[in-house]
Amino acid sequence: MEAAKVPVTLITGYLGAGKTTLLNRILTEQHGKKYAVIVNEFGEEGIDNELVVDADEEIFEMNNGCICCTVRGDLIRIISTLMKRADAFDGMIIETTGLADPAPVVQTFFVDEDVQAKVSLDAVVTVVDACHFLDAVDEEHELAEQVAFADIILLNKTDLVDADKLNAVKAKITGLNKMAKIIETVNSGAPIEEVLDRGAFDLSRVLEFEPGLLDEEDDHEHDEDIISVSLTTDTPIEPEKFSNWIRGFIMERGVDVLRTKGILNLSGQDNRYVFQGVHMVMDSAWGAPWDSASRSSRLVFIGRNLDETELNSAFQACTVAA
Amino acid sequence: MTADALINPQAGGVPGFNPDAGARLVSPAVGLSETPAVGAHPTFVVIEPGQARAVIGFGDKRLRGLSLALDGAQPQVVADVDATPIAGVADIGGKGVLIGTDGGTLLRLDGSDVTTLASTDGAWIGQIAVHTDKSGEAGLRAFAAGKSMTVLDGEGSVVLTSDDHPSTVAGLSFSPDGTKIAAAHYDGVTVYTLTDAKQKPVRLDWHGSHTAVAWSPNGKFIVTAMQDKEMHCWRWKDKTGMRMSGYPSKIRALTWTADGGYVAASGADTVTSWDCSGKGPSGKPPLEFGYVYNGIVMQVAAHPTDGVVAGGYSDGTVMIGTVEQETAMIARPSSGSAISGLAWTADGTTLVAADEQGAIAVMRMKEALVS
Ligand SMILES: [Zn+2]
Ligand SMILES: [Zn+2]
Repeated sequence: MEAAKVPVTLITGYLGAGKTTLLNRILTEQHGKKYAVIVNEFGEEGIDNELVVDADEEIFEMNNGCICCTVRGDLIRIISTLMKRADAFDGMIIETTGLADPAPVVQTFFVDEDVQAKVSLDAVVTVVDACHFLDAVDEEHELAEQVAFADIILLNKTDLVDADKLNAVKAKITGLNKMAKIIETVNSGAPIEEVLDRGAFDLSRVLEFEPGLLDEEDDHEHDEDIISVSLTTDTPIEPEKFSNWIRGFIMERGVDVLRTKGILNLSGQDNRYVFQGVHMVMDSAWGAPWDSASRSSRLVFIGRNLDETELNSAFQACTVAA
Repeated sequence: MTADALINPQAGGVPGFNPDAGARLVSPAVGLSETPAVGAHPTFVVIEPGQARAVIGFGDKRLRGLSLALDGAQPQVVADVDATPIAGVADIGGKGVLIGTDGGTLLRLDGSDVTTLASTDGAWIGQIAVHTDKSGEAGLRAFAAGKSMTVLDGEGSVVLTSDDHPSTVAGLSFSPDGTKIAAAHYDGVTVYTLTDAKQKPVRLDWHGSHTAVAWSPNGKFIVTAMQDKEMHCWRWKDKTGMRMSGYPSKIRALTWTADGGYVAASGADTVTSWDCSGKGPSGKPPLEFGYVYNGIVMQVAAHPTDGVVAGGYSDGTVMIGTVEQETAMIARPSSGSAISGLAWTADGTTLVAADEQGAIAVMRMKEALVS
């Protein structure tokens, strides 16, 4: 008898991109529903909600000695306490500071038991200012990280740029993150149903990719930059080979890997095997059965210092044919 | 130097207990009475002196009282408060209840009267502690909100205040003589001397997030629970640190047996107790009792006089066990709802537990727990 978990939406984005405008749009359009809003700084724009909790951005390292294995201690405390209140929340929305690294926030939902028991992270929504993004992304590496972590990108203020610049911004975003859905907006005016209830971390919905996003248009960035690497194979995967490789890779390179998603055709199995990860935190489950037509395994990494050729040969070596 | 013993999930099980048989019988040594679920989440359980009443804080901003007379009484609303009561302990001398709220107020409940002793700019008061001196009448109160911690005397004057902590203060514990207070936070514990304002605070360092702290009743040890599914213990005399690890779950509660011989913790599928006689828990595995299939211990409460600890589990089970003999009995069967508060009366004859649905179990001991 498990109560439905309260969905949590994480809104990130650089200062002035339109995060609070989006937040207020959600709160206004979803009137009648009850949200808890957690913010790290009170901006100039007020937040139109009964319950706004001020968080402290306390990033705690787990004591395994790894710099990427972090959680947000303040969120653990706030969410655990809010869930004891009598208020039945329809959702929670967390707005981060402009320069926040989304990783500790996201990992909190997969590491802390109390948080995991009561709420689930629905999606990371990153608001991008079309006008200033290209200049800012080279200055502030957090901005690239926020885009790389996103499930949904609100490409905002599109009225302030011409078609060429908009295309350049889109190309840059796609280079950083091939998995995210891009919604072009003016004044953060995205349809709410495209922002809420996405189930982006729900394993049963992992890799419901839109096919276009997986087209290989290989515009290599510098190796220190964040890129997306997507790998596919039609040959069934040998579970043990794959497991050994992915564990080793994530242990060794998890600091550089921001997000991972995979859907695998394991040899001898009728069902899809789906998994996802944030840095070194991995989560996996059996998914829906394959239909007879195609059984392609797909794997996407978003991160730094990723060598597509090397990753591809390692992945191909996990098939039964190898 | 660590006490890195891995916990054996099978150890300390109830003799003859078969988890698959559904045979979850309450021990005949316990008289159990239970009230229906209130439907709100309890945040603490405190028992008032004279053991007449348990006071339970709830997530619906209400304080409810329950008579312990076992006369079929139901919980009654004692007071409505204007914010969620998130922390509660017995006040000085056991008279009244000290309460911290998520509205940033420090409240005192006396009978059904609520007075405000202190307030913040809105920062949640999530941690409170009370020390009663030998007279039984006077003492100290401490509360923490965000990074700041304040100690007040019985009249409400500030004895000490500090915000020199690397994170929000997640636990407070007075030394048994009331001359010091330990504040737990990220990367360790800060210990303040209350009797000498000029004395520099002592920082006990250990990397990671410390989420609870408890000073041993004999004053020799300070133990913390950590986000990292382990505990840390410092010997106060020489500040030597010891690590107690191997837990499958994070540790939400700590309790010291009355003589200070053992510290018991939640976080495993048994109640685990570490031997802190002599130099501390190094090199020794914990004693265990009360294995519950598919359950994790959420709350622990040491008996006020005997070497007995009560454990409240994630499935609503309550077990009472003897630490050294590693034997256990069921005091309340599973309700399916995790135990969120657990407290003994001062004479140790009655145990009160509250589960997340707001059901309150009163367990009366029919015979002595340790012969
Ligand atoms: Zn790591
Ligand atoms: Zn390359």
